[in-house]
Amino acid sequence: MSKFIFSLLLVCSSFSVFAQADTTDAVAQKTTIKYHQLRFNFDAAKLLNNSLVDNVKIYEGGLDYYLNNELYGVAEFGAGTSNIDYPDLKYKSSNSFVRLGVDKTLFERKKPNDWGMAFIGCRYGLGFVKRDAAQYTTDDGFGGITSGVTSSSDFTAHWFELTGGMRIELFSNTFAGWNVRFKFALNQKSFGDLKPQSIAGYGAAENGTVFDYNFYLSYAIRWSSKK
Amino acid sequence: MNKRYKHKIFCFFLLCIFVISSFNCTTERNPCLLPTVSKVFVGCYQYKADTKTYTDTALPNANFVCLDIDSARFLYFGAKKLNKFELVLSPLRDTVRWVLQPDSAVSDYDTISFLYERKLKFYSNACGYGYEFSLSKILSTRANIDSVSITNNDVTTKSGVENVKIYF
Repeated sequence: MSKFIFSLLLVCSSFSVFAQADTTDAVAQKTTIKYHQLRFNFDAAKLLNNSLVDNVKIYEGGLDYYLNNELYGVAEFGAGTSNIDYPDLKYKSSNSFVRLGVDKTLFERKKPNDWGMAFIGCRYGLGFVKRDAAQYTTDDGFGGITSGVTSSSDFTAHWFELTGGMRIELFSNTFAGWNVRFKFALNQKSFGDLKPQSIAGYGAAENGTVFDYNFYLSYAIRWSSKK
Repeated sequence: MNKRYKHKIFCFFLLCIFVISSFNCTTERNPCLLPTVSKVFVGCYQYKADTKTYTDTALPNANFVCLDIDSARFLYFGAKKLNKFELVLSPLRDTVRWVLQPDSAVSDYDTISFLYERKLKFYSNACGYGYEFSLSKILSTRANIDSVSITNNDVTTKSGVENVKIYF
């Protein structure tokens, strides 16, 4: 009888060992590594423009984060000023802006550490614009002039963007790339009569549709986690 | 992608940045391609008794002189066989008087008074500001003129829109 009980215990323990082994395999199968990347982008083209143009200064930057399925969440921000000083029109304007959206890569990554990409995306842009009072002169048709001052104006600009571009990893974690952007103003009428020559992040406020580009230099930080 | 190839791409990027930025950055103002002075478009007409209609009438040798903007300057001086004229209004006042002499060799003078409201108008950053007007009343003497009427109150930079008819 004691032999029978010992044999039964041995068989049961062996079953429990098999069961443990199965559970461990299941956990090992479910555990995958998720790769994260947060990339900081700085627009070098705007910086070059600023050094060459006197009356318009724009600074743009942003960051993107890899979400999933070759999709990146993007936040871009910046600020700028313009100083219009024509013989018949003088005013200053300034604004800050933020753009939020997503980028979707056109090609799936072959390796998890291959972060170069070609992409398309969309953005929603929001700009907070302040235009100072404008001094003007007008021609009366007989060669005489009249002059005056119009009041200052603060307004919020909304726009939508379709964008596309590339990022190439030149060195470890360091990228260069470009974006082209087609921007569509959503509330151009609220810009007022005197639309600023330049709204940082959007472009010429007089145009309902704007083409723009960026050349980005980027640095990425990466980490991984078990899923 | 090998390192050498990447560096070439990087140099290409830098070149693109420089070239495109050079094209893009210009401090020059865009040219203003539109008129910024609003003018009253005046047409001259004469009543034809046989057809009982008003027809365009070319003035033989017309002078137009403004009394209130710059009386020393003729806008039209000896304008031959014109039936349409473009006159300016003053952005400094609400009334302007124009003197019309249909035939400078023989005819008398008429004075036409334009009463209007002024509206400041922003055209564009390239063109700046200008004035548009809204005609409220028009008066004239009757040496040569039979009557005057407003056909379109809004005096803008649009050409070809007749604002006033002068009947002889």
